[in-house]
Amino acid sequence: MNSATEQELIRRGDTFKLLAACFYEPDKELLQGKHVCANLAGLLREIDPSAAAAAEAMVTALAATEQQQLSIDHAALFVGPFELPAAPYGSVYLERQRRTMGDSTMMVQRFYREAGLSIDVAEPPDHIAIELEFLFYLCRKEAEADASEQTQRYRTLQAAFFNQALLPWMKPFCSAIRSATGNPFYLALAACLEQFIESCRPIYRQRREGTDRVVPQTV
Amino acid sequence: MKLDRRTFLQAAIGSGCAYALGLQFFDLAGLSEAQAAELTELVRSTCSPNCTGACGFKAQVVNGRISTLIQAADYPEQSYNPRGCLRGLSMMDLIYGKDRLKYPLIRTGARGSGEFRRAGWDEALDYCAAKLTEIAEKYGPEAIATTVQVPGTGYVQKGAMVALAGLANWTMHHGYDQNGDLPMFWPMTFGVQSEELESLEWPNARTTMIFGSNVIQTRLPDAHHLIEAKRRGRVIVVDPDFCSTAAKADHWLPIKADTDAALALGMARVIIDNGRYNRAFMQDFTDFPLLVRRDTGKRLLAEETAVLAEAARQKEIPDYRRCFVVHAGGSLQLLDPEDLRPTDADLEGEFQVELIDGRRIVVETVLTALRRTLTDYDLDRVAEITGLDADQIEQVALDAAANTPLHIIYGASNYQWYNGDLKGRALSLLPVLTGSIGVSGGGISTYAGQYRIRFNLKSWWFPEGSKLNWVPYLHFLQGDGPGYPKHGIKAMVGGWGNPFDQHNMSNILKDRATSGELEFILTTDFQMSTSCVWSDVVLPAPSWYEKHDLTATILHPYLQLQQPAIKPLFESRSELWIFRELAKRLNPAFEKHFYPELDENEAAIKAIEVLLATGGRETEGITLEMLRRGPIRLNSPAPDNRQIPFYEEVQHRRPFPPRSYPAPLTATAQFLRSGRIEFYKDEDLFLSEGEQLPVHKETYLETEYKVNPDSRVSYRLRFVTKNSLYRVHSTHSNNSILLELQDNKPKVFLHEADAHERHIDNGDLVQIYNDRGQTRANAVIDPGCSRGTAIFEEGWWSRYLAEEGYNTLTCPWIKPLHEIYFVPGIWSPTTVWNECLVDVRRISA
Repeated sequence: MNSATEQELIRRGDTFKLLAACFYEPDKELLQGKHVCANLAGLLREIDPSAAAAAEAMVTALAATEQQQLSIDHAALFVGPFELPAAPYGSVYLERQRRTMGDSTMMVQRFYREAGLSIDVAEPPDHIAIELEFLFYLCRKEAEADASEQTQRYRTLQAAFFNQALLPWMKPFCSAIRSATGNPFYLALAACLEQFIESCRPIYRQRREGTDRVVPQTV
Repeated sequence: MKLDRRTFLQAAIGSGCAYALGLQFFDLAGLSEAQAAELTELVRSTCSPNCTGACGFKAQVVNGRISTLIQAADYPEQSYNPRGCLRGLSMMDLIYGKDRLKYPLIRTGARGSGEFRRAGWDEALDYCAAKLTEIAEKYGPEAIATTVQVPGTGYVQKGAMVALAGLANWTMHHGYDQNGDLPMFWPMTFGVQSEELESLEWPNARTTMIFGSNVIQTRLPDAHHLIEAKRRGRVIVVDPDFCSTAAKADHWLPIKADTDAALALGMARVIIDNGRYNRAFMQDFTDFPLLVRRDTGKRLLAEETAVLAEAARQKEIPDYRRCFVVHAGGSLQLLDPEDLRPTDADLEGEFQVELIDGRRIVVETVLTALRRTLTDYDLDRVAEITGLDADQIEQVALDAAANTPLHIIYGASNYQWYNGDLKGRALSLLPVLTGSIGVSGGGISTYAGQYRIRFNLKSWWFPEGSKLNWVPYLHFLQGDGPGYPKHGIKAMVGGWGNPFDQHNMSNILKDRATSGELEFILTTDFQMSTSCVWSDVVLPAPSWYEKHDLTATILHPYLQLQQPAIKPLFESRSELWIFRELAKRLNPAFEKHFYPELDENEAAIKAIEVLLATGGRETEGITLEMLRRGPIRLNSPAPDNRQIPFYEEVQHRRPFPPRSYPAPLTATAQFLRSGRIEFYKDEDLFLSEGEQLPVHKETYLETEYKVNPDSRVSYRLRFVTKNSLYRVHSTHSNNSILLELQDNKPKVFLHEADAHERHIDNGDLVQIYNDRGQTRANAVIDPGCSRGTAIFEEGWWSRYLAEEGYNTLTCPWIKPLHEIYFVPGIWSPTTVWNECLVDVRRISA
């Protein structure tokens, strides 16, 4: 793999990872101390300028928002109680009745298994942060791969996962965040995520042929 | 899902590269062979909502998710298979639904605002323990109250809460009287909490009479047994409304609401006057031959009489018994309360008796007294009171007496009235007069709620040193009563129920929560119910497909396991674990009862084993291993371990009553001092109320009309509730599949004339109101609905009623007779939901 492609892959993967981190329970001190949003902006400058601008807005918003407010707004959007206005689970958008642990969740789990990963968290496996982290992992593995069949395997998995599992709920999810909160940090995060996903579409579309049946859709 | 500091250790600003970031959720060690395979398994558990149906279900689990629920159909009697309704099949909507509780929550906004923050388990439990300790120190531990709801659907997890409450000396409300499901005629007449035939016995009745119970709709898995009973015999439904069970009956008697006692007394008179009663049964097993003093109205005691005083002194009997007197073979005889051998006592007659002081008094038998009472219930008067046809009443009574065994299904919508006890006592006359007690297919059964605990559970529920302060819920609501704590109830610890909506006068709870009189409210549940919304701390518990428990309820007398098909979702933990953790924090000495050395699953299994080993004759020989293979019948004295009430008392001539667990026999046997079925009650209040024998009393006279005489004109509709076909009982009304089947609309059913008088059309949104509160519903003009009735389908949470909970309408009535003894959940003031007047007006077209 030439170093330019590798750099691009690593940037994309790390972007997935840093975006995932932004959906965790917020810890302002840590987010700022580790410059998560600034790093995100830095990565995105090479990928998509408008996503980078959204990440810059996240830096500003984070500085201007109290920890308590962040926690409250994060809980209202993603934690509950009650019906979540922006549930962070794919199945809620992809299936009837807004349920968790749907057939699409099972599909996501099969992707993880296909990649040889086990998962043990008290959340459904189609949580936004977990799906994003999975793509980070696949990008890193692709970058690390020596043999071309390994490269191809991780590439194929990435595209299939992106197209089948993540992409279909990103627009409704980001739009749900926008209509449910006034918090500038999460508004900017939604914009950043949506824009970044948009920028990934052409990359994964090129690879789409022959990748659709990596993991069967139904149980 | 917390940010992990380690994840970022090697991320450097400006590098444009976060290459060394770690993985937070995935395990790089890779998959074990088992994990790599697609795992499908079937796990048998027991559907356990508060409907108490306890149907065996298998969960098909694929890769850790329940994909399908299937009726287990593994009961040894084929006619119980398959058992389980479509409502139970829709449970997945709650398990994986949008109201599922995920994490411990601590309230941040005002009470009831629904503003919470997520907390860790330690933080939440520490917080609860600190609050509970503070309240106990300030007001005494009895200021903390909890409720035990429907024990039969989970003896282990619910027992953990009861055990902690007992160790900590908290107050306990008994769910049976709180829910109004306690039929008070049972302790008065039979000395028990309640009894019932299993549904497999229904077809063995030659006559089935159903009063105020809609089993076709509310007992779906058992309904086919009623159809079989109809095929083999005759089914008569007595109901003001043409309910779905009435539609299946051979005869429907559209009785005027709350006049069933008059009907029963009229039919009893027909049976007695025609000599169609079972003389031997009445002599040996009932108080009909007992002598009653005309001067005092009290039953004659052997010790009072000149001829039997010495014999009475010689007789050794338990404290809870008395030696009464019968007339047999031409003389007075002491009636041994512990011996039910035939006496051939006179059932009727009036006699002169010399007392020890030489006075002579007149006595008569209970049956003679009853016959005098029954002179008020000639067929014409009964027809007038009940609105039924005199000939039909007579025919039904004679047919029932000629076709025994007679089985009466006595439903809550009939007995949840102020004088519901009188109706139950009067209706009990019919199976007793016909000798239909203690025999296959005969008796009287109540199924609503049904708290009868099926075996001895002392070892798990009541540890050494446990002491509960039992307070009836109605006393809690009125803020007064014998056991009511000096400083009141300051904290509520709840689970398995939803009192902020589903209990009477739910607005009182909300008022006390808002005013701060309730200083702390803790609820465990797996759904965000209204009670959770009003709590200070909400602790997420698993559903019955996520934990171990032991069940044994009504209708089919099986011990069954709840077994985890999946791991507890999100961060939920079993109630046993929750209350063990609380116990440890409240007093380290409490913890040892909850098997602290075992994890929560092992501890629950251990509790099941201990319960089986110490459950008494009902669980003797039954082991955990047997239950893991499938449901096992509890042992009973009847052949084939059938659930036939009073089988042993009648067939083996043992004194009444059988024990009602967990109360000791000494507590309940005092209700039947003669050791026999009693229709004559001679405690002073029964006499002064004129209720020494069952009589008919007019509705609302001592309640609504007394409090507000204007209610005769201003509130002309009886407010009664029924269960929707599309709801699993009442606790969780947020099942979206079932809501959809109900068109997402609360409904009130009205008679056409009542609706038109108020300019209400089908589908109109109406307000239902009285002096106490209001709610809203969509009108359904129902030709089957009797005039003067507003039937509301119960269970709707406030969120579906524009925050106007329907239990704001209900009432605080306590019948004083229900307070002359107190045995929790057995003789206790009980909620009488139906004694409630309202009116209805249109909100919009």
